[in-house]
Amino acid sequence: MRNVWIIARREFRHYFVSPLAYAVLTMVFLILGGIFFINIYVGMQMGGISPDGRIVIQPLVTILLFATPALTMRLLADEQRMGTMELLLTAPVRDWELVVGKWLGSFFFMLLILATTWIYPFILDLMTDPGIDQGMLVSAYVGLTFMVASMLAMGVLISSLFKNQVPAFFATLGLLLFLWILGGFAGSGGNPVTRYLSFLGHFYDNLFRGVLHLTDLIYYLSLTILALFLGTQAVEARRWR
Amino acid sequence: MKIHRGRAALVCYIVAIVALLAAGAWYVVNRQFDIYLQIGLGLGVIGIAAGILFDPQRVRKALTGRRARYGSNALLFTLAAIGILVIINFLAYNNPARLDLTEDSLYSLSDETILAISELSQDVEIKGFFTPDLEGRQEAIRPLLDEYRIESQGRVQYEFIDPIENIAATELYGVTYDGSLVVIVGEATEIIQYQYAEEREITSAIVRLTNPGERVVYFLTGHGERDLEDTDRTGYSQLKSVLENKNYTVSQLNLLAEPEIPEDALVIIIAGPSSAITQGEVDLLRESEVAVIYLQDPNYDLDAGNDTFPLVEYFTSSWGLVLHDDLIIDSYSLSGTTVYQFEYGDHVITERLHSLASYFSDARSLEIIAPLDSLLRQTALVVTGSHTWGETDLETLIQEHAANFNPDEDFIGPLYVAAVAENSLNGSKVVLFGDSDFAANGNFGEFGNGDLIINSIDWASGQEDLIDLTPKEYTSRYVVLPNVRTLGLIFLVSVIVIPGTVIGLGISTWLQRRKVV
Repeated sequence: MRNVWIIARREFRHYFVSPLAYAVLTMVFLILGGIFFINIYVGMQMGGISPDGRIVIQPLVTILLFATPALTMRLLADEQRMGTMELLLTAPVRDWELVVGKWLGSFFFMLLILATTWIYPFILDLMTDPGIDQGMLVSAYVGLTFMVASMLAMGVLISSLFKNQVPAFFATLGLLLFLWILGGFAGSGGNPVTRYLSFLGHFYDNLFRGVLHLTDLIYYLSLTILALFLGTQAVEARRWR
Repeated sequence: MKIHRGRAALVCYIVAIVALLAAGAWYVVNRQFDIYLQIGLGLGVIGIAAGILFDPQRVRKALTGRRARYGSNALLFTLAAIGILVIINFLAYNNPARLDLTEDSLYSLSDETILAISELSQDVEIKGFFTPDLEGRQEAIRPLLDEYRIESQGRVQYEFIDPIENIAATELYGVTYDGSLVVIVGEATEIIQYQYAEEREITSAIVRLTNPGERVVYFLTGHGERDLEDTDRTGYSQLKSVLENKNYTVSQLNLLAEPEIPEDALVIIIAGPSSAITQGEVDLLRESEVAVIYLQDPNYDLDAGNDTFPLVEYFTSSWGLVLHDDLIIDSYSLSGTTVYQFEYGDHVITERLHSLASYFSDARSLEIIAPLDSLLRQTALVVTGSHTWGETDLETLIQEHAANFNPDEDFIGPLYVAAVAENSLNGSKVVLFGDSDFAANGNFGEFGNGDLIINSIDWASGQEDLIDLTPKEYTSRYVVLPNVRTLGLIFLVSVIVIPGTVIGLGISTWLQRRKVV
């Protein structure tokens, strides 16, 4: 576990010297800030603002669809491109420690982004009497955290399959987009299997509305574990391919 | 022509993989082992077999080489991991646990509902019939149905059906409205329309169906009342059909032939009689204390006179509900005699109509007089606007087709078209309507007309609210609109300061790295 922690810390720190990470952060906060302000401004013109603390979460989910591949594309693909993967494979680090460490580093960075976005509901809370529904907000953020964890894990998996960052970015984006639209296949009747596989459904049906469902959390946790497991297998395959 | 065996095998494998993937996707979407799925699987198997035949050497090498050994290990591990995760998800799906974090417990069932469904001795199935057009409503009701499933430990299950795709199921359960919920317990079913698909209705339906007992509604006959079997505009066949869908037994009652009120009668409906109900019949109703719904059209039989109706007298003397001998004229209406409700009274019957209007053609007005009995509670249900009046000069109206407001004789609006009264001591109830057209086939489906009569029957028969749910308390929240200065501050923080800080940090880091380099 120590190795995981060391790798995670290194990756986390690396984001703070990466221009790409700052570009992602700027994009996230510029769009979110703009949307938040427009909501307040339009609400003022219309004579009423919805006291909903999740005002920025919906756009944030869409932004994360693009931000996640950008944050994970480099993680393992860059090691392969730079030729440092061989060094890592011969170092006293297990394959899973490498993969989990990389994922954890990106997860911590994403947690920092999510925590910072809390400022918008906080501003709205100050303006609301007697305050926004904090329970609903907490549930939405818990859901978002689990969802983002699985998205990052998938990003790490894809990154382990490529030597170049750009195809890793687009492959991750493609995979996430596929999961995004999978719920649409469920149709009106709602085939239980496709409905259960719906990536967004698990978030919007319950967590976003303020209800923590164990099923939804386990779904995202399973995706995370599966993606990290497959990522480990992909790294390990380099030894015998 | 020479065939490159390796390439041919590769093409075969690709065809096989594409066919198998397509078959898998087809099955996930359609859940049917149909001809397309069989063709896909067949192509997959043939493709693999052909690939092996074209290049058997590659297969042999793949199965016995070093890659095969490690690869098969990895594959086995992966399959095992997927299997474990699928099982965990399956268990979690079938044993759901949840926590409603909303401050007002918005998505939690009331304690009364939880008690009712935790004591279920039979499985309950709820089928929601929603076309894709009403998908929004379907998704809105899903969390509530999830609650029932979870809190009942799986005894309540639900599914959604597209009524267009599954016509057989739609006809089987007699669903006529898009967005209906059918609650099924054993052989018994009850239909709830989507505008009523809320906790109180669903729980009441479950309680009714799990505690079976005949719920009989009688329609009085023998006085020229509306015909339950008549499918014309003036008939009551639609009302009968909806009542039967709600699990009522609809029967007819001729008190002239059999002067006895049946013991199983929950309510007796007297719909638009054209001749007088006899004093003997009225006495039977009075003595039995059974709920009565009386729908009476204006009295065009000028010779008969209003006072000759003993039933009218009974409603006046016993319930304080006076039926005026008039015809409501609406000065805003094109026909003059069609009147729309202006407002509803505060009562459970009208509360459940939500924003649906109702209208009445050729209606007479009512009056509520102070009750003799202090135990009597009277409520006006339907009130017309101030631009209406009750024309009492029916003779001129019939002969000259003209109505003029006479302040000395006519009743000035707002007028009552429907009212209820309830005896809080013995629980007996009556509903009085100054019109019976509104519930006839021609008007039943218009606006809230059908719901108004159905809700009245539910209330009168004591079936509207079998379970008394504790009302939820909702925190009223409002955002204090910011002034220009605060708005500027919000702009500064959200659009300038936060992104600007990030950009500043980024530039600073870049500059530092340049120095280091």
